[in-house]
Amino acid sequence: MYQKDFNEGLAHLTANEYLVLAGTFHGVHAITSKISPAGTSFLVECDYFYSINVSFLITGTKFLILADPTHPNIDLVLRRTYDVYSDYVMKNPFYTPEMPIRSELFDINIVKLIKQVGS
Amino acid sequence: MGSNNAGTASATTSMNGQPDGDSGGSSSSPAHSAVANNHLASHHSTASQLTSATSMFSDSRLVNIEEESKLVYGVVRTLRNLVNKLSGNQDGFISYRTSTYKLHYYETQTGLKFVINTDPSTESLRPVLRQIYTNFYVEYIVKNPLAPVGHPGGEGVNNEYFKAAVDKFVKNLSAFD
Repeated sequence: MYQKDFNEGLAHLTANEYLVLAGTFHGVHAITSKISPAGTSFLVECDYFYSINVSFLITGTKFLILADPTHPNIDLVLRRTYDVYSDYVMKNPFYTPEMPIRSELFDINIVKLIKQVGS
Repeated sequence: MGSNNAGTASATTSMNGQPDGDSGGSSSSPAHSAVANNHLASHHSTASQLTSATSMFSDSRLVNIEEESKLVYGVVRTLRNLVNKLSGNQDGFISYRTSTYKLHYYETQTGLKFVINTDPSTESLRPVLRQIYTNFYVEYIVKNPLAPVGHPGGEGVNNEYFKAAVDKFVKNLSAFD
């Protein structure tokens, strides 16, 4: 799991709480697909301040972005995140799958990506 | 109405196990008997898409309405808690959307939860759910002296007037065409 704040405004939680939330999310997704088969995208609208955008990969990896609901192109951001992820995490020979991501290059590039789409 | 026009809106692909396929209507059931006041009113509009969806996912898709309301209740409750925890204020959860359907959510001050499933492209139906609450739930359930208080024994809202009114109301929505 990897988590990073880019903006103030949401309640700050501990790493453990994020783990619990991520776990919850996994379960929720499993159930939503039982109600009606869910595809590769998932969006929770909450409040009018932010929404949770998720994309799923076949491998089970999930990317979540909490963003302003009026943001025009979150799907693109998610796809670009995946690009960064595959470039700097999956192609890193020292990365062990399922382990927390500790890669400086990944950090740098994610920040770069968010700054790009945020401006 | 059973074979409505391509079922663009209001098409939750689910079997509601009712013999009359065109009633579609609403049936609600308490998903959690421990919480007396919380119950779900979930709507099911049978659409022509149904057959294709069920044939694709034949085994896992055939959950009955009882099962499904429990699942929906669980999802909605967890998501609501998750959202409230992240944003730190109450009443944050509005809807969620997957690539196949969208679930709209409305909760009253007293903790009643209203849920409607539609096509993912539908705009927010919260006002509609609110109307269902004020115009139908309050009128037919709350003001009915014979209606049981809470939902003892896990029994759902079982009121013909309520069902008929909601059914008619939902079918007249612009989103249903």
